[in-house]
Amino acid sequence: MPGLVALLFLVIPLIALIVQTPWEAFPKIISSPEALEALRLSLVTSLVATAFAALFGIPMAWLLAREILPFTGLLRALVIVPLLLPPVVSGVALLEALGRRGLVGAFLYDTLGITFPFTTVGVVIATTFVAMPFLVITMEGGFRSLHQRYEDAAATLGAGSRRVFLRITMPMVAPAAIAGLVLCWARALGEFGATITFAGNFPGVTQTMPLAVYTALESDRSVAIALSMVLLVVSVGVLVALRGKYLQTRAS
Amino acid sequence: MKITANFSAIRNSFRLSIDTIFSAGTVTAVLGPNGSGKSTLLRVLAGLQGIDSGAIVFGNQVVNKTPSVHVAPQGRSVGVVFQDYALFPHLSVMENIAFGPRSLGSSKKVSQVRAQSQLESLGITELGHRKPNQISGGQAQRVALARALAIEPSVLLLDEPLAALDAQTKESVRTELEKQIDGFDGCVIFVTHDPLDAMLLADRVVVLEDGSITQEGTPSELAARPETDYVATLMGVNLIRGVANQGVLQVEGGGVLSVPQVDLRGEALAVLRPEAVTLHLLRPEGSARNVWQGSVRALTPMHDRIRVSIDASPPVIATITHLALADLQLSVGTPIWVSAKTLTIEAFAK
Repeated sequence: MPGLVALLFLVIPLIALIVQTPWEAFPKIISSPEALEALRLSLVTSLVATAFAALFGIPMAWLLAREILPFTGLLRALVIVPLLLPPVVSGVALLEALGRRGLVGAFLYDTLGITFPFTTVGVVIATTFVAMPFLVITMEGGFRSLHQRYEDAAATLGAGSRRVFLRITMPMVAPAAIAGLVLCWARALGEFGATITFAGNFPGVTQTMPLAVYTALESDRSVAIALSMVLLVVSVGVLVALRGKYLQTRAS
Repeated sequence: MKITANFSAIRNSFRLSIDTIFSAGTVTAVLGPNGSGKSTLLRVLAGLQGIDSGAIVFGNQVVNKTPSVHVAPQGRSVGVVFQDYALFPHLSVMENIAFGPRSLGSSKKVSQVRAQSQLESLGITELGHRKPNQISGGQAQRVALARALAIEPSVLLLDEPLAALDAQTKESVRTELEKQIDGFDGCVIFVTHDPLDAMLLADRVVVLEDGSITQEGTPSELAARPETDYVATLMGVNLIRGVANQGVLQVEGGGVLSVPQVDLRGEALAVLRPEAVTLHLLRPEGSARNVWQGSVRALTPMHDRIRVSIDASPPVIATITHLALADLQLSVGTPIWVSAKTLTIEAFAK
């Protein structure tokens, strides 16, 4: 019985969202310039953030999995912290690090005139910070379950470490990589707290879909619901993609 | 190419100490129980693991020398056949074999030609486009060998090459493997825990126990003169330690044996074949000079005979037929007389 309560608890809000969606006005709302702008910004920043996470996070996951660095356990814990941290705290932390008066940000601003907060780049930074751990822990699991002997075999066949990684390691962990990338991207797309704290809420510059939903809620509720519906569809799409194909391959 | 290995390697408090030479054109079996350090030895030779002291020289190339020299696997020209073959599951058989030449800088085309000729020489051309999960264990063994040979290595290392196969496949693959490694003119080293593999495939056997080499020799030397209990057990013979003097061996732990080697003096080992041991219910009166009493400790059925372990001084193992067992009515604890003719024993200096 408590199980059914939980089920209803999780499902009813989703049903409510579908029921309350203003379906007649839906095409008009989501094709409005503001909505399209937010959607475009969300897609661009989340994809760029995922790309950064892949470029840097995958090699890091490999380092953690192979326990090459000292204190691997501690490092792994540090990497996972952003996963557990309230996103707004991540935003504050980023401001303290990369803001104009931040630990690193002050130097960047004074010498190079670079500033991140309240820019689209800031959105990418906040999003990457929050989403990358999802990719790292998924990939680390993938690398760990890959037996070292394949990499060893490739090395004895004359392949350098770069070739081993690209030709042997990565193709063999492809299912984990795809799962990790999708999770990372989904998290990036939904990012709200760190973004609004670090990058602010400027339409066309830093106002991504979740921020647009939040803003619309105060002016026009039906717009907020319609935009929410779009994000729900994306989430369900991710779920289907993961369950339908990649998670199954990984389990077998 | 000759390999001179004189090193120790420590890993998780396990110490492997090796001092031996692997000659060119020789097939060496490294024989040892599980955990004796066999696989570690192969990993060290392949460059997959470092050493903690000493040096390893391949021909005239120093590949390891503490503290600073460690040539990576890529720079060693060593072909390795891994225990469960480690074929790359996402590549076809052909791509697996072409991977090595391609990694070493051959063009795609040349690599494929090389892979093709390997497939042909091993008689598995029809497997080229299959994935590793679409071939049998015996075929995978051949593909793994083809892949290792495709880089034209001067050293071929095989880790338990037959262990992953079922008994039936094993026989045919062993014959096949024997042909292939005989045709390879470099240095072949393979690791095994199966004495049959060592006897049938190797020119020379290195016995590894608990991280050290305990005996080296040709298979027939090992069979005739095992120097450790492990080797004696593998060869299925009784190994008796003692001190020899004028044809009499004072056995360590009690007992006396008459041995034919009258000139032998000092610490010695004696080999007594189980089938040369005769069992009697009553004290025998005959030409056998060695007669001693004990009791049956265990009876182990083999496929066509029975192994009888006897508690006595010295303890021995005898093999008898089922008929003899029925006649003697043996069971655990039965008091028994043991006899062995002096001439069936071979004693040698330790």
